[in-house]
Amino acid sequence: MIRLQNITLMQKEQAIFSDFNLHVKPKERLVILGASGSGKSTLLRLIAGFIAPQQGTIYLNDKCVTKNEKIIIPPHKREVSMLFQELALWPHLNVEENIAFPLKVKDIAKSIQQECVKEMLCLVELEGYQKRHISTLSGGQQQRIALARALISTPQILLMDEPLSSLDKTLNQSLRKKIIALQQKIGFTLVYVTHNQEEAQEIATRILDFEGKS
Amino acid sequence: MKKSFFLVGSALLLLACSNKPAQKSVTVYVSEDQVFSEPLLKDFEKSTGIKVNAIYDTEESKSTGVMNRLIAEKNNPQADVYWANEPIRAEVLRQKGILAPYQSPNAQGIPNNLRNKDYFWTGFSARIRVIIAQKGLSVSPTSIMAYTDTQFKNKAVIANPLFGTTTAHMAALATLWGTDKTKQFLESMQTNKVALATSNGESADFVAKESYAFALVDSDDAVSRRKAGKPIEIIYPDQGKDDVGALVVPNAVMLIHKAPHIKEAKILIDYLLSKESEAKLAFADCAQIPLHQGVKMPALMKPIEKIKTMNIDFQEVALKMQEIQPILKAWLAKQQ
Amino acid sequence: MTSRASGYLFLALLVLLGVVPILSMVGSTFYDAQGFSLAGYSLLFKDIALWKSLGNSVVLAFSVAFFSTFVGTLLAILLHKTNLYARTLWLILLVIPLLLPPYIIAYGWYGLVGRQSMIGQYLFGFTGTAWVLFSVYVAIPTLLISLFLRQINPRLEEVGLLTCSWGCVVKNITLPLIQPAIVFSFLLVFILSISELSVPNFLRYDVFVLHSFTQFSAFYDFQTATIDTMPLLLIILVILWLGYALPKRPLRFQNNATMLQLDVSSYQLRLNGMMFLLFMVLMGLPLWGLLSHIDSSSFMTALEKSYPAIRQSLFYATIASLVLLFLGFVSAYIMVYKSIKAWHWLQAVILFLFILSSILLGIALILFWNRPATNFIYGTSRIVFMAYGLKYLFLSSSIIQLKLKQIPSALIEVATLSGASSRQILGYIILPLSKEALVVSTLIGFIFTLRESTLMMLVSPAGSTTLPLYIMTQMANGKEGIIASLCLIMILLILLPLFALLGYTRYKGTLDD
Repeated sequence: MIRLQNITLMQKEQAIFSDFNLHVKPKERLVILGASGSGKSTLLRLIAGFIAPQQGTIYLNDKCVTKNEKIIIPPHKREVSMLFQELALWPHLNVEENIAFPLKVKDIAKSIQQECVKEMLCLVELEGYQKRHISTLSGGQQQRIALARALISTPQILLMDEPLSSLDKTLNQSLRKKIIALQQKIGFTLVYVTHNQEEAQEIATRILDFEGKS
Repeated sequence: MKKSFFLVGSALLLLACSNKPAQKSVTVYVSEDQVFSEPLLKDFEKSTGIKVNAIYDTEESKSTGVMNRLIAEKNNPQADVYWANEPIRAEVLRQKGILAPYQSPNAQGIPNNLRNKDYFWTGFSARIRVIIAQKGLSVSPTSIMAYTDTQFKNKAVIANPLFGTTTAHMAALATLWGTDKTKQFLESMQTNKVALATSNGESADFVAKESYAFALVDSDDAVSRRKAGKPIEIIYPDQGKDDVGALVVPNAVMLIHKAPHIKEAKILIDYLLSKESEAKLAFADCAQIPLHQGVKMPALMKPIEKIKTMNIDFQEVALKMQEIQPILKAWLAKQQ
Repeated sequence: MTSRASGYLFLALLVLLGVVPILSMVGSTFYDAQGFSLAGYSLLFKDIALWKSLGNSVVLAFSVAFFSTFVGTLLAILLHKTNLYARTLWLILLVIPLLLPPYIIAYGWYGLVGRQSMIGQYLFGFTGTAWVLFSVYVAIPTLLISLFLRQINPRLEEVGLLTCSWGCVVKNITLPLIQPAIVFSFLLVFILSISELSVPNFLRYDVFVLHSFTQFSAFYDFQTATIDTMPLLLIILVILWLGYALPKRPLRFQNNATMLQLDVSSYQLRLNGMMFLLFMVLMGLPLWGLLSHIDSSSFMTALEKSYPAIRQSLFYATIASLVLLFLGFVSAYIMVYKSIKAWHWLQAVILFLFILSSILLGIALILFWNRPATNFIYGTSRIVFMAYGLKYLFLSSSIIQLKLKQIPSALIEVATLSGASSRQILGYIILPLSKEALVVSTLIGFIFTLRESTLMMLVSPAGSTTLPLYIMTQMANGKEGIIASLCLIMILLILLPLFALLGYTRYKGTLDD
């Protein structure tokens, strides 16, 4: 599903990755565990296509998407979704507009958008929240909206960059279960980054203890 | 907010220097173009040691004008002397009670109709309203009535009549012809498609560049273009026996009522009214005609005694000017 | 944190110095020699020519605001969200016309095309006036929108990039996020254009402010002139209200965000070519129009004659910039830390004074302060510094506010918990952290007071002509070469602090603009 071959990435004269290889199988839940600054988020950005390595090749579904500083397939064509640590929900759009955005830009009919949004909100247990403003939601609710947005376009790959780190323990645990349930139901490949060992062990089918060097 | 910031702030403001110098000074508001007036005021400074603080008029249609500062400052005058480039303004100020009379010893010899009878203002160094025309015209415009002559349709230009000497000229005509005839004259100019310039200088430039056949301007505008070698001729309008004559527009100098520095103000007024000053202004680019007799002047200009001039009372002209302003305003609105 | 009483005192002082004269001026329009009278206002409503010119002014202001905001938005994106080469240089060149007295650009065009040529005929009137004002003011939306672009959390755009292309992200995410900047830019340029006098006057376009000036210049009728300005004052108040009434979106701004950049490597030549053309039509050609009339002898003569005016300009600008720095910091502090409940009023007053036409402000100051009891202010340089302080406080305050808002409150809270007094927090934490903004604010204050002409024309004491004013007086009858040389000297004088500002910001690695 995801293959990184011989990746070398330098940033500000520091080697983030040096001849790094990674293979993630379809429907796998890979958790990358590591301390801050070990390159975990950078890895996700490589897969998403926001940055390119100096050397190396990245394949998604056996298609070459990045090769040696050149981004061959741009992010919006990779069928990848990403959930950031700070969620990045658009403050000028309400809940429905945030979630529906990936469909709207593909010119999907409004009625279908609304149906899909309703379905997603049901999935994350926030039915009826369509017209609410982002700023009126709690942290946990925002987290779930961000998740719904990430999933609405049925991505093949979902990247998550410490999405639960700012939540309290109870919420954290409940959302972990939710993520696992959704992954099993929808069947996407999950690459999950965290520094929390307990979280990693619960979510992962495989853990990569990450130093970013091999 | 801490006290220290207020202290610092106050100190800054107080540090802003006052403009009250230790040496003797005189404050003069000047409507005569700075290009011409400033050198004379600098000479005054050098010869008397009295510092001159001047405010100059900007291009007339742009500014509030120093006139308006004088009027605004009536109850608390900042100026000592006003040097106007025409006497109408002087009359307006006199009527508003802004002037104080002063009979300068150097006023002797200046024609009576070119000063206020009670010496509220005194004329000196005059311009004549002349016609600047392209050289080689088949028909010469020898009268201001050429503005209404159909053979000059679309070919003439005049400065904005709301400002400066053009206003004075219209008001002077109104005292001689009456308001109705003057209004007719203005309307005929419009029918004859006379163009509008922002100033006499611009009018003169248009003629010099052969964009228009002729324009009514001040003599200094015409002389400066002639000196620059432009293909123009200078015509003194209406010189015939039964004609109205050319309008003489002297500079006017006056003492401001309750001036802060009266002594220095009188010294400046005496200086400006002197034959030496008139000679300087005659030989400067402004080429202004001395009102004292026997003052040396360039050959380019005629001495005043050889020109047929309009027989007007500036006090009357000033009153008339205020009366015809709505007519001028309406005329301008149509023109634009 | 700060003394509430001091904050209210500051506000009261500002109101006394700036707002009371305006109110006094407005009040005087309701009285004549006989007492309370609305006669002047009834004449106002009957003056068809005046309303026609107001219509002209509104059309002109709307056109300039619309096109400069539209083009400014595109330029902001090009110069701040792409990797275009030399984008800093283009930004600097774009900003230069804004820093000059606007009539210099008009004069440059006049020098280039004259009056009678085909282009010259379009120069005079609506087209030329709108074009010159556009050239001057397009930098405002470019700068304002750039400032907002720099603050957008890049994650907000990256999420969008996962679903659609850059163009789609800019349209659906970036632009909506910077909507406040776009609206504010439009309103600001509208106000500046509708209040502008020198350019429409030079290019002979009948605008509203000229009517009031005509009343002053030709008719010496103060009351009528003041009444004639009331529609303009009303428009300014409406726009001020609009600025406050528009719904405000909560925005998440990121400190020191690394902006996402659009890769335009394949289009470098074309885009740089386009920017060069834009520079030529905005600034290059009028500059050529000026330079073509200059020779070394006229330049040296101009330099010699204008030396006292240059000295005066530098003196006023230096003191005024320090005054603005102090006042700007105080007001920014009050507004950011909300030291007084009425901080909104302080903001409103400062903005009102900025957008108020210089003519209105100048006249109000004369009418209010020219009394024997206040001679120690009026007729001295203090009235000039007061006028500058009132007019440009908004600029210096805004720059410092931006920086103060970036200081995490946690830094101040920790200092408080450590036992530091307000003065110590100010001295050890806030001032050092806002050093760069203080320098930038001073330089900006210097530049804007250096270029000011309308206010100076109205309130400057005798014998204190500044360079912009000197140029205007020379335009009456000065030689073309001298006037052009003076304009060039003005440009050079402005460029010096501008390059100082750029050098400083480059060195500090903060704002590029």
